[in-house]
Amino acid sequence: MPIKNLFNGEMTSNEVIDSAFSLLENQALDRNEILINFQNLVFVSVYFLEKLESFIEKAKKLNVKVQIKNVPPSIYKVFRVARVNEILKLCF
Amino acid sequence: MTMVFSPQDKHENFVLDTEATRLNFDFISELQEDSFPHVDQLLLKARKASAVFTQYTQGQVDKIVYAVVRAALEHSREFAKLAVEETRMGLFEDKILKNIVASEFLYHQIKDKKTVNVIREIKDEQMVEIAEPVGVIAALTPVTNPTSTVIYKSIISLKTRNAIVFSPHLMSSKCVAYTAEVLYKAALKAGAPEGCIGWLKRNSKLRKQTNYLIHHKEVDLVFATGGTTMVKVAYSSGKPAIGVGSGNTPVYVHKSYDVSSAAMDICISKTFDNGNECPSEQTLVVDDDIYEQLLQEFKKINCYICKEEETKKLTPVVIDPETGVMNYKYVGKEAYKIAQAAGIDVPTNTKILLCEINSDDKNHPLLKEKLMPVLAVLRAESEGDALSKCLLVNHSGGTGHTAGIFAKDENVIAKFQNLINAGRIIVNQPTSLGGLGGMYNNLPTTLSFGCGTGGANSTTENVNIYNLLNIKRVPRRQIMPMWFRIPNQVYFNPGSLNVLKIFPAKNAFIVTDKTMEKLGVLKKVIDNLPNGCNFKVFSDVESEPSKDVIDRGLTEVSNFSPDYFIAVGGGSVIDATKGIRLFYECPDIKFEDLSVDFVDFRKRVISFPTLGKTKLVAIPTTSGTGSEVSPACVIADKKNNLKVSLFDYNLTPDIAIIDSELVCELPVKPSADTGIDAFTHALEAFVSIYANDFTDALCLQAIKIIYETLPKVIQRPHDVEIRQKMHNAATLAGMAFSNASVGINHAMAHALGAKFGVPHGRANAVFLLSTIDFNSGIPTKFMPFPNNKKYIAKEKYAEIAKSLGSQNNEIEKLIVDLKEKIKELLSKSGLPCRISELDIKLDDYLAAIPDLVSKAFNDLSLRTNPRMPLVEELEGLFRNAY
Ligand SMILES: NC(=O)c1ccc[n+]([C@@H]2O[C@H](COP(=O)([O-])OP(=O)(O)OC[C@H]3O[C@@H](n4cnc5c(N)ncnc54)[C@H](O)[C@@H]3O)[C@@H](O)[C@H]2O)c1
Ligand SMILES: [Fe+2]
Repeated sequence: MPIKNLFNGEMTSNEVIDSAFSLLENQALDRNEILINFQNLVFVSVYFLEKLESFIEKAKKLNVKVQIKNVPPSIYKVFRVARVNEILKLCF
Repeated sequence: MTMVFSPQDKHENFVLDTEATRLNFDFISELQEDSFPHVDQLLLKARKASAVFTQYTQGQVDKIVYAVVRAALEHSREFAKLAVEETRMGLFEDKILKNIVASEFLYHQIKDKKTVNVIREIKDEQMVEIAEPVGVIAALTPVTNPTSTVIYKSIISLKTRNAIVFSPHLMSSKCVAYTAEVLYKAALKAGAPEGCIGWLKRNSKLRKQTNYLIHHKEVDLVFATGGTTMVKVAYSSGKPAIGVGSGNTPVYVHKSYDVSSAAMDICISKTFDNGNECPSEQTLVVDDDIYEQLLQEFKKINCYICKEEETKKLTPVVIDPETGVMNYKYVGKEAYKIAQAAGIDVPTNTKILLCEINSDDKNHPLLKEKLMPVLAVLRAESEGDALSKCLLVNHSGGTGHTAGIFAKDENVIAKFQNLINAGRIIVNQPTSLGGLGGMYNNLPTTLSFGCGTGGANSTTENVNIYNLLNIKRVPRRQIMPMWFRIPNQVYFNPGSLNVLKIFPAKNAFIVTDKTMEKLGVLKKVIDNLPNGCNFKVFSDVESEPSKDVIDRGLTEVSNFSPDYFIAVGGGSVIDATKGIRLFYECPDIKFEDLSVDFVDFRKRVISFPTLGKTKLVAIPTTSGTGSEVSPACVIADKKNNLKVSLFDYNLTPDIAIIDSELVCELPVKPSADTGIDAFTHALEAFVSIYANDFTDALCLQAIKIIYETLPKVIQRPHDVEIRQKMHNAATLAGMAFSNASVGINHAMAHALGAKFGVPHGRANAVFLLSTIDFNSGIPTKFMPFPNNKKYIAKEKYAEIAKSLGSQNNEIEKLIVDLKEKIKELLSKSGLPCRISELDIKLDDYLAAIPDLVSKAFNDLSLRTNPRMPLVEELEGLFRNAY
């Protein structure tokens, strides 16, 4: 089931990022598949990247399949330039 | 990790090293397979920062830069104090100034510069330049300018949205770390991504870590400022690198300059940071006339001129006799302390120690770089002597770095800047402050002075923001401006020859051939010359004229001084006249130089002379070549069985007279031959890659007229009206191909004609049908040309068929109709449509094919054909045409 509107606009505030990811992590506990929609994401910070990376790692441990869709190209470029393969693998 | 240096190299580099020397990194011996997780962490963070930075706008970036500049300015004294304390080099007051130059001055230069997205629009070239950050930069900083270099590199790195990680020289690691931290905090506060500035901390493994850093996979660019060894290691990291090394600045004081001003500027410069600034003056070369005077001026401002004995004592103190490079202990020290060390007693307020060097002693140690207030002085006998001495210093270490000259004489400045190899040649300014840029001049403000290949560097620039960007160029498709050029006077209709009378010709040189003489055409022309016009006739032109004919014509014309050339005859006569006129007006040009091949004549290598001293009147007596309106001139090279085409609009006749009364005697066979040549001109120009609305209009009309008229000409060759139609059509087609060129049909015809002596028109006829098939197929290769966006040869052939009355609507059928109509035209005109109809045996023909293919392939006409043939396709075309 897709999680909507969790990631919206400019993700700069660490608190906002924290709460979004803790929601996501809670969801991960009772599912075996998570589809994250980045459609409305406008900006990501270094902290966001790190959080996303560690979420993916946690999900892996819990055997939850994560997929990221609708990544805006400017955000996809960030993933590319940052060379975070764990994230890149899940995009599209 | 592997290194490229051998142990011998290592020693040599060590000796050559200027600012680092003994305490400097011994990179090679310390290269081990260590790993440093905290360096990995630092770089991973930097990598993410550089990625996140890609989202920043110019406004966001400029806000960060502003905040960092403010922080640097606020801390400039503190940073200077720390640097002097830690490195024990240089002067506190000047280090403050350097920090200010690296922040305020630099900011002033870059604040309005664009570094995000579109950074430059080059309207004339229809191109924009887009900035792409380089990514993660490993920055090495020197001990001589530790804090100012960190300020400068941080600012230009942030301005370009890069992440930077500093590796300091061990002896300045504390002040570097502190400076980087202050700036980083300011950047973060202004919204910069986490990890955008990083630094290695002081620790016992710093050198190994530096090595590890510059080889790290997360580093995109190594940016090294420092001694020669360090810079070499940076370049050998296998990464893109900007490495800038040591200098040895010669300064020429020319007799045209005011000595007291020169002395003051040099003093300001050489004492700046106690000489601890690599573009500063190292050796003065002074004209004999002002030598003593200049030294007096130095004395006046508390500089000390060492006596011969004192220079001897000072030399080993300044330049370590063991290593042969400047003594690290005295870099950036006060003059009196250095003198003291040499056992010379000078006042404590002494600014500079000047040492006169005997001109014979080219290898004097003091002619090397010495970053301290010690200056070598050479006396020059003459300007030439001075320039050579400057070159000597320029090539004694420090090539490519900095040089200076004080002169009012622009000539000597011009010579100096041409001779000396230095990235910055500072004229009538202090070289150290001048080299920094932004204060005395408009050089980019920098603390990294590129030395080019002279210093084994990648750039001669004052390294600046643009060196930290990948600049992406986006050129827009350029539609080529086209042209339409024809003679500005064209007279036509039977009897139009009498227009000759109105021309203000005084001396007319008439070129023609024997047939014209015999037929009375020449007489007609002479009868129509203006009253009182002198004339001379040259009637030796043969068919397909060669250079010999032109030379003979030139001999005839040489003592005649014509103001008009009048060509009366077929294409051969007109072409010969073009040639005679060209070499008459420009006797110095060489035929070989004008016949160089080209693809686009506007870009071709040779430059064609401008003609205009005389006028050229072309009166064609055949209806075919179009030479009367064309910029082409075909000259046969009989020895090599070749035809050479000269092409330039300067060759186009000024006046063309299209009078059919002169064509009526042309026999039927050459009438058909020349007529079908004109038809081919129009057909090929219509599908050429250069075809345009102007030429298309002419082509369609020419094709229509020839299709209807040529068979009638064959039936009634003496009908002046019919002849006039045909004559006009040939000129229309000539105008078309003069501007749109021809194509593959002509390329093949030229080859066939040259090989088997087939008349040109006939040779065109046998390839007409196969050319249409070839061009209306789907090309294996398209002919590239920016003005064309679609392949429309097929549609264009269909358009011709329609204009010739075909009622079909389908393109394929229209093309079939066109071929039928052409077959009909050929047969009605008594022309062949296959090679087998010519007098050529199959075996001879097959044997000739390789040669034909090669000739046709090299033919200029091929380049404007819409479909580019492969060699094998060309061969197929030749085979099928039999
Ligand atoms: N400059 C150009 O743009 C251009 C284009 C195509 C061909 N050419 C060149 O033109 C030359 C061919 O010209 P051409 O086809 O007009 O033939 P041509 O000038 O060689 O003449 C052929 C023969 O016909 C005779 N002749 C000409 N007019 C006559 C008339 N009215 N009555 C009776 N006899 C007449 C000539 O004396 C000659 O013997 C070749 O050298 C060819 O390379 C030049
Ligand atoms: Fe031709």
